[in-house]
Amino acid sequence: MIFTTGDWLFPELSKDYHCIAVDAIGDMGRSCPKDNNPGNGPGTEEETAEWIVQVLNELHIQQPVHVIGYSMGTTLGTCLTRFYPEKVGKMILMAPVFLLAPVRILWLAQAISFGLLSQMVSQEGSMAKSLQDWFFGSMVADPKSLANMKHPELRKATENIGTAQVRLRPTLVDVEILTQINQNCPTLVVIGQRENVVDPQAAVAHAQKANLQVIEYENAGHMFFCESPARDDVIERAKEFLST
Amino acid sequence: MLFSSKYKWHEGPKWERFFQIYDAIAKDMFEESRQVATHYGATQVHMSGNPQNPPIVFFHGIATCRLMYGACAVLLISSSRSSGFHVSVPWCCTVVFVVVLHGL
Repeated sequence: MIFTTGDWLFPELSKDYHCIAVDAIGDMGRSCPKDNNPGNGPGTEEETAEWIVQVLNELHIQQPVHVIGYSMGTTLGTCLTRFYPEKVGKMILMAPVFLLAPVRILWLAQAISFGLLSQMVSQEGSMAKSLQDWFFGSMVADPKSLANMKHPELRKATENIGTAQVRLRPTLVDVEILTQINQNCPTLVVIGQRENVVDPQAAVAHAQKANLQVIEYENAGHMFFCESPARDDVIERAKEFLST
Repeated sequence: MLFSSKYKWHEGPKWERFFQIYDAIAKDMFEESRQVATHYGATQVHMSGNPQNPPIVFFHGIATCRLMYGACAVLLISSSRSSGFHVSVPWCCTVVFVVVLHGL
C-alpha cells in the first residue's frame, strides 16, 4: 500500500471518506498468511472475495464500501464486486493490467530481462541504476516523473526479501461479467494512453463494451500515480465519481 | 515457490529490516493501523478519516521491486496456460528464469 496509493490518494480522500487500505496476503506488507505460509492465502477469486468480506466484518463495516484498486489491486477489488455486489457501492479501477486486456509480450520480455539482468549486476553500482531507469522509465510517459517515487529505502528492503507470493492468478474478465458488475456497482476505469503493460486501446475498448466509464490520460503510463497532471487530476475525478 | 529460504514468511533479519522501515512510514502515513484475523491469515489494514463517513477500501498494486516484475512475468505466463490468458512466451524462457531465481 505504501508504494502506491498510500501517500497519494489516501490523504486527500480521507478528508471526506473513511479510507481503509488493505495489505494483500502474500505481498510485501504486514499481512501474514496463516502459519506463515503464503500457500494458505486466498488462491481463487471466490476465496479472495471471502477474505475481503472477513476483513470488513472484523472492522464491523456493514454498509456498502467503495472500492479503489490499482494495478493488481484492481483484480482483488473486482473479486469482491463480482461475488458480493451488495457490499460495494462504486468501484474505480486504476491502471488495470489483467482485467481488461492481455499483457503485452514486449513488456513481458522486458520484465524478464530486467529480472534476470538485475541479478547479474551489483545493486550498488551504476548499472543497476541504469536498469531501473530503463525498466521503470518505460512505465511512465516522462522518466523524470520517477523522481516522484518515494521510499527508496523500503523498496530496497523489499528487494532484499525477494518476491511477493500472492496466490491469486489474475485473468481477463469477460464483457458479460463486467457488464453485470457495472450494473450492480458503477465502475470507472482510469488508464494512461502510454500504458505499456497492456495495450491501452484494447483495455479501453473492452471496458466500453461493458459500458464502464473511462478516463484516459494522454501523457501518462502505468505508474501515473507519479505523473502530472494525472496524479492530481485523478483525485478530483475520483471524488466526483464517488459523490454523484 | 520461486524462492527457497531457511526462514518462514515474515521471519528472519531481512523481514525485520523491512518492518522497521515499513512501520516508520505507516506511522506517519495513516491515522490508525491494525491487524484483523481472517481464515487466510492476519490482515493488515491502515485507516484514515472519520469512521462515520462512507468507507472506501483500497487495494494496492503488487510490490514494485525489481524482482517482482520478473516474478510477475512468470505468474502471467502461468496464467496464460491455466486460464486462456492471451500471452505467448517460449516455455524455455520461463524455465531459465525460474532456474535463475532459484539459484539466488
